[in-house]
Amino acid sequence: MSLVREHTEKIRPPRALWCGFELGRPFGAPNEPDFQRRVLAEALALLERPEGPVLDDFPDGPPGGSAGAGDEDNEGWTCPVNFGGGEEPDLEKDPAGAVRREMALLRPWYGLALENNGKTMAGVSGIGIERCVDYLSAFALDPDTPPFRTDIPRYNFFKLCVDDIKAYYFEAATARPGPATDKEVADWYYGRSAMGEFLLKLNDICSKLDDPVLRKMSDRRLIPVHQHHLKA
Amino acid sequence: MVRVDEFPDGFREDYLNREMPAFDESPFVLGPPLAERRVSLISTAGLHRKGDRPFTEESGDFRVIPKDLPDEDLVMTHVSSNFDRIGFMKDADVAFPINRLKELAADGVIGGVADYHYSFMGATEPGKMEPSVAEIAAAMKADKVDAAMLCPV
Repeated sequence: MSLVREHTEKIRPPRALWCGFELGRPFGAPNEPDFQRRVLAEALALLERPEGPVLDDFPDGPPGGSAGAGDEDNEGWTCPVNFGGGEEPDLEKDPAGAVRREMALLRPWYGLALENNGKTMAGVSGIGIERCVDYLSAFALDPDTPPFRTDIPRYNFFKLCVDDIKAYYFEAATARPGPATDKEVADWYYGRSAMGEFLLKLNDICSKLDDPVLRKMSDRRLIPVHQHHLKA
Repeated sequence: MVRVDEFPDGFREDYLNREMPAFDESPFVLGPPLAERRVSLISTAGLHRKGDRPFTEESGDFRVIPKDLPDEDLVMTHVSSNFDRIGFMKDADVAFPINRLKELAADGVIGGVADYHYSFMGATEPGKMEPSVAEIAAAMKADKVDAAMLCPV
């Protein structure tokens, strides 16, 4: 399977099917088994070609079109929760409090996502999401706070905490039926949530540390490239 | 959308022009008809069993995914934040089509589904994966695999 035609043209594998889908979705779209099966069968059929290298283009886009906010028949994704109103903890003084408040507001939607998806991507840190918030908050105050796991490198543990919280927010935010694109949800998460603001702060802290691995992570791993304009 | 043509200017060109492994030739072999082939998936999405070791930067190692692992036990620890994960959150087959593969086997389109499938974490210098690839090739021979499907993210 190829998602980046330019790369496949250089590598010249024996048989490849290029699909112009989103990165992260090589078989097109979730919960579209007929379409996924068609893509898979078309790629496997290349095994019977007698000569190569072969680089074919899959003719169709994923079901539902490109599902972006700019599409005519798609009103775009909206967050099910309004974070405004009520007493908001000060993100500077109490990042954990600000993030926990948002997570509590998102909880019913996360529950719905669990039910609909039958699974969750949150949990890879192995310490529970509450403790992920604890660690990142402690790190913001003192980057030398010992990580809660010592069997993996610190940067790895840090990133798994970030990923667990992101999975929680993203799953809750996309629990309602209807298409949601990574860009739409990311614009909200990084640009309009306390957690997003906190992540940008963490990213800034990492970028100034002596630890080259955390510095590199702040450059490339914590904030997606389409949100880099938010960085300090 | 996380499409390459929608990456910000500058990054997109760097991404597309990234250095790729160069090969003198494209190995090309013929094999039995598709309906007789036993297929294994190799993903670069950083997938593994829940509780298995998370992927780390630049390690080049891999994880084994048994054929009948329940969907809810398959997790992702890819280091990149530049691809869509919403699809995978809702349906793992959008990146790792093991259930679709089983359906193709049941319909007789392919001969069978391998007992074991594999995942790397793709944001790794390709040369670092080479020792792992040799290991997987040997495991695939023992598993009677004669078709491998590489699934990127």
